[in-house]
Amino acid sequence: MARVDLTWADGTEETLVMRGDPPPDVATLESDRDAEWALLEALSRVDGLSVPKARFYCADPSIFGTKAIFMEFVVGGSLQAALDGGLDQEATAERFIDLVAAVAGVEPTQVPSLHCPPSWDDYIDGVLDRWHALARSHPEAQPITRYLAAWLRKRKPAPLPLRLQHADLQAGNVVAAPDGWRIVDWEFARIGDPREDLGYYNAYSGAVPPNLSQIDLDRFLRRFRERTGFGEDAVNPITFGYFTVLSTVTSVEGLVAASGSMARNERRGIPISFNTHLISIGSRNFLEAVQALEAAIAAAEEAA
Amino acid sequence: MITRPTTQQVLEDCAREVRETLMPALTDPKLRVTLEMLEQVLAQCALRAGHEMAWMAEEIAAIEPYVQQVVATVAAAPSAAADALTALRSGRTDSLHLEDRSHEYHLASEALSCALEASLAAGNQALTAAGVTLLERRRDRETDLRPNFFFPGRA
Repeated sequence: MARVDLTWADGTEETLVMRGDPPPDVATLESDRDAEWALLEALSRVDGLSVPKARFYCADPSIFGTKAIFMEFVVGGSLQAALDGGLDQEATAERFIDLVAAVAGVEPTQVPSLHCPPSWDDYIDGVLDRWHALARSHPEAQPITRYLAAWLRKRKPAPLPLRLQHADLQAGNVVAAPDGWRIVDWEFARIGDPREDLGYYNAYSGAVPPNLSQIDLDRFLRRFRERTGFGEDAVNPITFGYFTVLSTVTSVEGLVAASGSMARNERRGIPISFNTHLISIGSRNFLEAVQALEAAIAAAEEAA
Repeated sequence: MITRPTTQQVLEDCAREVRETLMPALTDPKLRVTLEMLEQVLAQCALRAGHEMAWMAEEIAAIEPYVQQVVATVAAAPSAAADALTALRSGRTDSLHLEDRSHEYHLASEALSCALEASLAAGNQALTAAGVTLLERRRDRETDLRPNFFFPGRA
């Protein structure tokens, strides 16, 4: 990502943000700029969703050395930086959950460039299949990931309508502009379960605090239900925990694939070695989450 | 072969050099992030060099009887767990070369994976809990390998 200061032929000056691909041998996650551009164009037309406006796209990598997306430049630092700088967390939690709920309110027909699965079951089974494949993809057997994949399939929750999901929705991807926050970095967005962004946020913020959902989880989830109209049977601490694990599949796939490539002498780079830390942090967090959920499920079954 | 200072000591000193000498001299934030990663990678390699052979042997020794119990209780042959147990037993080695011990560890990990999947599918809570205890041991080792973890760029 780069800031671009332009002077047009008529002398007008403008600042844009350019997004491109990192060099393939050092990239730790893969993404598709064509799909991201089509999505950004559609998102710019959705009422109630705060995103920087999509401006131009250059699909020819010979011009800028990479496919390049140009977007509105929004003045302001990230919400993560603001929180690190002491922004009030309790007040921020409500504004943040409103952003998450706004994304969860976008129906598949509003973003036609994204593939819409035939049904919720088809979609979730597809994610579960990815976990199954992921758990078998590394050159070395990964028993924690195998257990998580099997557990997720066993504890599949009740369905909700399919909606837009950002798939990397965390404070670092929110620009805290004075004229309103904007959600950025839509490269992993897809149509999926509306609880996935909630869960992903919890997983991510567990590693990169503060975690706004943990200030008052019941209040956090209640506001999400109020904003989306979803019921407590579908959005509660147990499903929140389930989607905390499930939603990270794309991130974990990228990390494990990079690590596996290094093990096969196909890729190199200090970030890949460093990111093995992230894999083990995820394993620890997810294992602990599954244990807490099993205890909660057992208590609920006993009470019933 | 000179074994003192140990590999762990050498790598720990490399990490210290990165932390105390190189990082303070750097002003480029991108290079600093790379060095912060490098310092943590070196610190982890130091710990692994000191302990990973022993830790793998300990885990393998604990996994085999668990998988045997699962095979005897809920996953009699033919089953993935039984096949993985057979592979583990035929792949046991006295070699202390890292590549050989890593392969044996992989076979044990595969057997543990299959046994846990079989326990979960059978709804056997005791066997599942016993398998999860082995996972917790691995999780704790991995935590030990991140003694001073922080996200680069946010120190």
